[in-house]
Parts: sequence; C-alpha cells; structure tokens
Amino acid sequence: MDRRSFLKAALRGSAALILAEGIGDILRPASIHASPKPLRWVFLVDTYKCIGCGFCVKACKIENEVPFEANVSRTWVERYILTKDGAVFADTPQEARNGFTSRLIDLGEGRVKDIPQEKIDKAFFVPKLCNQCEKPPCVQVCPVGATYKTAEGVTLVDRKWCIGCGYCIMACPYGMRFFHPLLHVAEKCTFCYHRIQKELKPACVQACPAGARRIGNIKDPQDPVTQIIMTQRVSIHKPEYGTNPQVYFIGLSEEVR
Amino acid sequence: MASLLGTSPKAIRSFEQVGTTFRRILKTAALLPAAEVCISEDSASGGNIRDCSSEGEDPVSHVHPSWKLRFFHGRLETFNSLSSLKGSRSMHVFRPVYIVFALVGLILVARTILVPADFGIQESGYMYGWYRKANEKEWKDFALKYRGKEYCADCHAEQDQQIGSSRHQAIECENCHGPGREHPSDPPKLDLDRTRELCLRCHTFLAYPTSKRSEIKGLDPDRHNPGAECVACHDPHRAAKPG
Repeated sequence: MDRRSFLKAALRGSAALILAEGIGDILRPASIHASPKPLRWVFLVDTYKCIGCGFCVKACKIENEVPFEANVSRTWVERYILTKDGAVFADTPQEARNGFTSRLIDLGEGRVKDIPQEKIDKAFFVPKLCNQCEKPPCVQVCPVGATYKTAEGVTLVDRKWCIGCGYCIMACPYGMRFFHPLLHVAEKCTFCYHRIQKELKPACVQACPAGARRIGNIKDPQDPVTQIIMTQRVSIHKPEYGTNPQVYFIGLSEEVR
Repeated sequence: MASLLGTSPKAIRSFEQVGTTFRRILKTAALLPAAEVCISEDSASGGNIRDCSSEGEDPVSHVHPSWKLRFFHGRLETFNSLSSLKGSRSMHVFRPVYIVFALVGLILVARTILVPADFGIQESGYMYGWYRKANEKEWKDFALKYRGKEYCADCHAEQDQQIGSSRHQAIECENCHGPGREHPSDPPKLDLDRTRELCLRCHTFLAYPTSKRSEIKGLDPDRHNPGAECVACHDPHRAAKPG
C-alpha cells in the first residue's frame, strides 16, 4: 500500500464512522411506525391541596409490594417550612408513610426542631413521585436494556433483565430510584402501570382524600388534567436538567428541590 | 492455551524472526535508499543471499530521484525477506487472531440462544425503547391490592352511605380498613387500623398558613387524651358534616 492509497482508505474509513454515528436516527422505528394510540400519561400535583396525611405513600407501598418498614419508597411527601428570618426547613420523616403527625421538624440523626407558629412565614407539603421524563436519563445509562420508556411514556424496569449496577439510581436527577430491598433490582414509580391499563387510578391518586394528585392523558384535549396543564400556571421539577419531566405541579416554590 | 499463544521455545524463536522482520519493515518504512536496504537485508537474514541486481537493475540505479520508486523497492525487499523465512512457522503470529474470531463467533451464537426474540428497539425509539417487549405484559399482570370505594359499596352499602354523608366522605375505605385485595375470599377479614396514629395523620394540628392542613379540625396530640384510641369516643363513619 502506498501513501496515497493509505490516505484514501483512511478518509473512507472516517467517513464511514461518521455515517455510522447517525445510524440511530436512521433506524428509529418510532418515526416509521408512528404510535397508533394517542396516549401519553402525565401527572398533576396540587401542592395547595396536599394536607400531608401520607395515605398516598401507604397505599403505594402496599400496592406495589415495597416493604412498608423499609426507608425507601416510590413516592413520598416533603414538608417545607420557610421562617420569617429566611431559613428553609424541609423534612420527610420515613417518607411520610405514616403522615405528618408532629409539628417537630426532623433534622435527621435523631435531631428535631420545633418552630413556633409566629415564626412561620410559609409552610406546605409537596408530594413527589417519578417524573416519567420524556427524555429519561435513567434509561440512557442502563447498560443492559432493563429500563425503558413505553409507548405511553411510562418508564419501567424489567426485573428479570436488571443486573443491579445502580447506574440509573445515580443518573436520576430527582432521586426517584432505589434498590428494592428484597428483589435487589432497581425500583421506581410506574404510575401504577398495572392499574392505569385497567382504567383504574394509581393507588396514590385513589388514596388521596384531598385531590392533590391526579393523572391524565396529555394527548386528549378533553382530559381535565390536560386542560389544567394547558391553560393554568403549572411548573415542573428541575427543568434545567433537560429531562422534560411529565409531572406538573401547581404552587411549586423555588425552595423545593 | 500456552502453546497456542506461542510460548514454546520453538515459537519464541519464530517470534525473534518476526522481530527481525519487523525491524526490516521499520527500516523500509523509513524510506532508506533501496540499495542500502538491500545490503543490510542480506546480512540480517543470515546468509540468505539474494542478488539485488536480479530485478535487472544496477544497485546504484536504486538510488532514484523519485521517492515513489525508492519506496516500492523497499517494499519489495521486505516481501522477499518475509517469504524467505523458514517454513510456515511465521504464521504462529496469527493464532491470537483466530482465537478472537472464534470468541466473536461463540458470542454471536450464544446471543441468538440467550436473547429473546422480542428484545430490541420498540415504539419509543432507539434511545429510550431498547428492551424486552414481554416485560410490559408482566407489569400489566401485577396484582391489584386496592379495589376502591365502589368495590366495597357493592356489599357494604349501609356503611358506604353512612360515611358518604359524613365529613369523611373523601376518605377511601381502604385507607383505614386496609387493602381489599380479593376480599371476601382472600383475605376473609381486613386488617383495620384503629390506632390513634391513623387519625393523627390529618388531625394533628399544624398551623401552616399556606396549606389546607391548617383548615382541618386538629388538636395537639400531647394534650388531647394522650395515649387513648380516638375511636373509643369518636365514630369516624359519623364525623359531623360541616354546618
């Protein structure tokens, strides 16, 4: 091989590599077989309505067989207290599976703090659950194809396929994933996939006595949840990550992380 | 395996020969004057004498002003010295390559057996939809636990009406009575939570001005009959309707 033919081959080779980089786009089947079902599950959380009873967490853990006494949960409720001198306190004692039954703030490591009523500027509860992102980073990092986004937009974990490497747990900017204490695989909220398929509400939505949690189909313009999302002032959690989360909040404050 | 990888003394010898050849290639690649290469090759290959003028050219004429021609002669010399190595022992160098080919083949065969046919790119695309399709069905078949108020009301219509006309109408039966599952067959009796802690989920008074919690009738659990079960005095099915 002379220098000329070597250079030619090198040029052809790098051109082929650049083309191969774009193969993912060429092979994307979604653009070829457009989903016939116009369905995309979304969630709406009204933080004004939440009373911090924690029935959602209890129902979720029982419905989805997450050990009740273990300190992990697919959903939880956070309490935020903003004092008049500018301090922010947040806690979620045992993921609020037993609700908020005390006015003492759990500071962790067994320490608690009592904030007198007259010092409180704002105080509210924020239920949290998987955002079922349109661009889920947890799915991108899975090395074995165990976690995936369904056509309806819900991200699931294939328990038979998961090798328990924990990449997805590290990748989620919202901390929604954890190891199932008994199955030793990655675990996350599924919007109660088994229930919404049967046209039932997710366990947390059904258990909520305050109507703070709602589920809907963003593709259906008649859906009341869609109408609220499209016409009212809603916000999403951590938009700066570019994950395009699909859990919308009413009354989300900047202190909420 | 060791002999395959060529660690026997015989193989080491052949590796030495390969090393010599490699040095020769380096020399030729450095585009030394072809005549010079020709001489050094003859001495390095251990008396394997070749006539440099066998190509019908005077050795001096190898020093041609054209780089291309010089390079060509250098390559030719290397080829000659490679083919002059004793027997086919020099082909040992390809053994690791065969092993790699065999391994790749084995992995491809194992993959077709182990990876299910429905594993691949699904509707949500290459980036987010690379999975085993059958797993969707496995999740759909997950067992239901919470059946909802309507399921309870089918048999317990009286209690449903009672709580439906009370202030507790928004509360699901199963929030306190426990998940219905396949009741009445399984479980025949539900696990009712009668504890004080259950009531305190909502009725601990929390003076939070920007939350609906402060609008619920609440109390300080440390002062209002501490330790007592609320249901000893209050009937949760008959919580007073707002006036």
